[in-house]
Amino acid sequence: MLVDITRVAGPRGVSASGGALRVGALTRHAELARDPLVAAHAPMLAEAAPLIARPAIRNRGTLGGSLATADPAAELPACAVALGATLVLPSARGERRVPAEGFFTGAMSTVLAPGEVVAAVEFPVARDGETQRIAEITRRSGDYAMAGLCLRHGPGMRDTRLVFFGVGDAPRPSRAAMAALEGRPLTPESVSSTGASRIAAA
Amino acid sequence: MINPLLVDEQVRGGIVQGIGGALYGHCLYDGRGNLLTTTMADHLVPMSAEMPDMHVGHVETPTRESLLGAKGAGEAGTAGAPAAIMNAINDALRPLGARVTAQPFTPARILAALGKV
Repeated sequence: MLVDITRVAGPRGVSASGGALRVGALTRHAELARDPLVAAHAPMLAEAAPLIARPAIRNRGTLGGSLATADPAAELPACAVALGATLVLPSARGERRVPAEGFFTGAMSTVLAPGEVVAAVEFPVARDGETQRIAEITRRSGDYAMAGLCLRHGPGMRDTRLVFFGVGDAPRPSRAAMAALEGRPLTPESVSSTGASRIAAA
Repeated sequence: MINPLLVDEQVRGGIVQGIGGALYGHCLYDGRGNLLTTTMADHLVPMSAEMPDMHVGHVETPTRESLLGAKGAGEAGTAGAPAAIMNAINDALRPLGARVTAQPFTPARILAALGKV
């Protein structure tokens, strides 16, 4: 059975409070691209949205839909892992809060249980001096990534997060490369010194 | 030209078709001869974002084979586009001692020519 939740008002809208940016699961990719709160507090999402498919799809596709689908080559699941997001999963039994890193269990599969829906996603707001970027290689404009990378480099060059997508069964942090960049400025030298082999092994 | 606008668009469409053959279109078969690339998600074609700006010029040479001197101009850009792309790729690869000769010139084939995969 397929239930259309398009007209349910709850999982809509973007708000920021208490150090978290809460984005309703029905927020469309096109809305992520133009929302001022998203641009201010989770710029990686604003940069990622235009990379997703094409305008007609960005006007229909939603954040919650992308995360629940869990395509390993999709942008938003990788952003959620890179930014340390928390998924809010209500059901008739109550509400679970699941970190993005534990949500994706493999290609097109998640810990979402029968009866649960993704209602909202909470992203820690970007701190002053934090760098957030996403880059990907595609065959054509708007295609799924052949390989992609989400980067978060916190203030003081701390809390480095590197998450690759399109190169495995799910977006995964590259712990060795993260450790190699921790406390170092992002320069071509520091990035190349992390070593491609180390990234591949992580 | 009887219809210059139509001829220009035939040339542009032909160029994009040629770009598709050079970079994207790939018919892959399994060991039993079944075509594997049967959908538009598997057999890629250029979309509008992959189209370059094209400035079309004409050299008109009336043919003696028809009363008007006109001849067909359908898909006239198709043959030139893959040649231009292959030559550009090989120009870029030459300093690295690599060359590609079989289209489509996919990332995998270019990496293979470079000895990377």
